[in-house]
Amino acid sequence: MAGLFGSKKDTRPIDVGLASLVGSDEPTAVEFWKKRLELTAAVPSDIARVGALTPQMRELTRIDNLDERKRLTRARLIAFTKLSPEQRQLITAARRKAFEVDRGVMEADQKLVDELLPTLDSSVRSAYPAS
Amino acid sequence: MARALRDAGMEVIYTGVHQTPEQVVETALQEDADVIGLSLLSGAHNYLFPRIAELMREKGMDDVLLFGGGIIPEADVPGLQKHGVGRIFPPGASLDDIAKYVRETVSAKHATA
Repeated sequence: MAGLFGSKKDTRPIDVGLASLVGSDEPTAVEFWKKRLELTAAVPSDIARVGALTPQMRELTRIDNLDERKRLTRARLIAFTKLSPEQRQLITAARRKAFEVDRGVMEADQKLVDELLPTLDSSVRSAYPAS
Repeated sequence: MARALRDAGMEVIYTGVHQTPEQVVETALQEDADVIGLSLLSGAHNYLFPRIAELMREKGMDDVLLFGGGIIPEADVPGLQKHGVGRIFPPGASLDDIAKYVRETVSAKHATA
């Protein structure tokens, strides 16, 4: 799969589940992310949890269509707010550590988050941690 | 996980992360392993498990158990099992349960061999 111009070609196996979300409706995408984030939060080791979250953020960068990438990121933000407070805490901590693993991917993701958050319902905005 | 299975008395060969399916199967073949266990956190389980199962079939590794766990939604498990994958354990599954499953399944395989 092609990456950005000039960058190394990404030959990792595709996350079929995430790829299948392209073109799906929002409730389907939100439910997908909720399940994924629940599973990620359930990983018992902090390091492994970061290892689980980072590939999913990378996988989003494989979606060349920016509008689709934004749509799926938006669904992820909504899904995050449906987690329990403890799950949200675990995901937030893993997300912060993920910047040390793949800063480029995480900064690109944060840029989308910063753009999308103001467009979401206040209940979603207030539940999402400050970056 | 590797440590838990070793503590349970099993010989474990930990191949490390980012192994290709070909590398995993080759190692299992060379080491005459009874089991291949995959911990998949990347979300690529719907490709990796079937690919490894396919390679195992090509190599005649019918008596080797393939199982694993990770970020794998329950809804995806039946599809994996159709490819011959054994049990899939969710994150946080009891290490004792996993060790018991491996021990019992391998014993049963040896008993019917």
